[in-house]
Amino acid sequence: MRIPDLEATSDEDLVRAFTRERDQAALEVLLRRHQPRVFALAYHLLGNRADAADATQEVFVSVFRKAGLFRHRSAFTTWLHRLTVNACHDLGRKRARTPQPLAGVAGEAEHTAGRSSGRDAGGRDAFGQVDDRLVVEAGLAALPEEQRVPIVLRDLHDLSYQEIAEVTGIPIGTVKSRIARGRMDLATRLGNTADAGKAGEPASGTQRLKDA
Amino acid sequence: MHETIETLSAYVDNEVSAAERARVEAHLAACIDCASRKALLERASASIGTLPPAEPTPDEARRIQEGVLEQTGRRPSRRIGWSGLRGGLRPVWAGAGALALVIVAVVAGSALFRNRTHSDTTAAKAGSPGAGAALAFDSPRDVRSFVAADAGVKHALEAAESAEPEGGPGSAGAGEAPAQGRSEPATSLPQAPGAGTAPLRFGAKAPVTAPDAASAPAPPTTLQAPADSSRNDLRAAAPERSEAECLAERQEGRSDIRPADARPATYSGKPAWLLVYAVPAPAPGAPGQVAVYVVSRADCAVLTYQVFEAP
Repeated sequence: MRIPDLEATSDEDLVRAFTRERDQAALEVLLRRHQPRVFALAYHLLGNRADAADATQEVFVSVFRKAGLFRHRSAFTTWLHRLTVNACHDLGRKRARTPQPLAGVAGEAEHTAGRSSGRDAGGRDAFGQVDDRLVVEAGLAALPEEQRVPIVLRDLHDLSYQEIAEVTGIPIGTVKSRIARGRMDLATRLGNTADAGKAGEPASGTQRLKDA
Repeated sequence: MHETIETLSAYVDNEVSAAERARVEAHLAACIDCASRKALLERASASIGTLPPAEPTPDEARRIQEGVLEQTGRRPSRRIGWSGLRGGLRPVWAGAGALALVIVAVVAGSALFRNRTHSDTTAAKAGSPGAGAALAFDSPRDVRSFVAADAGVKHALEAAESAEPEGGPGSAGAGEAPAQGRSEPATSLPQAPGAGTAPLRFGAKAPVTAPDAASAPAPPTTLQAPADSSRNDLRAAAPERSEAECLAERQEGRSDIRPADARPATYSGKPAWLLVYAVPAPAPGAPGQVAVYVVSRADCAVLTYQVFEAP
């Protein structure tokens, strides 16, 4: 009887173990290993923790049900990202997406760690300034989904344009332009005042931003 | 001629060719408008990038996990102490000295019980041993509790650990039994399974639905939408796999590995074999370990397994 060291086993081998040998423990290792990443992605796509938890659950149920369909040509994480994007899309359609309300942030802050150095759990930097995380998250939530998805995959999950194209099924050129447009929208909402141009057009010095 | 925001944004992401990069950099050095647009794009990218990661709380994570396992007809399993196996087990499996491994297999009790005598008769039933597949487990904890406490298992493990490499404890000729010829394993097993013949009930849950196979994953419950299974086949009526078959399959044909103990049982209501193996200590003086497998009688799939230090 094989007794593999599952914790050291690759994702793809775990999927194989699960698919071929119905190795339940392999699925659970995959779940433990990837749940944080899936949750994090779902949270920024959907805007609130409850929906993120539901989407995460749906993703791993899909992993279970579709493990046999996983084509080992691409990485498991690519597949996982795609399942997550799709689950969030489906969930977003079912529910009105509720961006993180400002009032709820106090509880949130304990559960999210400051990414940038020098910030404590509440997102305050050394000078006590409250992080503009809320503003940024609200801006992100206000973007159209087709821009938010590639931006989150790029800036929060470090996927390449190529990987984003694989995950979302849209051409690289479209990935590029949606990210660019989304960033410009976001910059507007964040109150940046420099001039910006419309996608595809070189900006001229006399163009002004639309009001946010 | 200015750069488009797509190009500037791709440049910020380092997703441009070397030629494009050179061109953009040269342009940015000379064009304030483009430089400020690039700064905007960078700032937006950085604002997103420095958002704190949203991690599930332990509570959220647990609920998600439970939700997944419920929806897929499973319960959480607990695996214990894999790291301790790494050094000790592989050589055993790979090498020739694997007979030291005794697996308490909850495999078909019929042949086993027939030849056992009982030295512990706490609640032993008279009558045909193995009748009614006494052991019913509902969780890995049940399995572990049973294995850790059952006198018969304990005897089996002790005997296995001191066994000759070539044979089961107290057995005559068990080591020579052919690989597939496990239908009469009784002679290789230690005596006295103890209370093994008495029905032992763990957990109060009613059995889950009978196994009915789905596509790749193990048999789902009725909760699973049939549409998801591209390869449904009705296994409920299939004959059960014998201990011999399951051991051959799970042990990949090796005959030098033997369970220390093997019993029929149910796991979450599914007919199963409980197999207990003694794992040699990874190093002299280190504690030995016990590997316990519960395999489905329907298809020999591993329903749960655990490894822990020998009690």
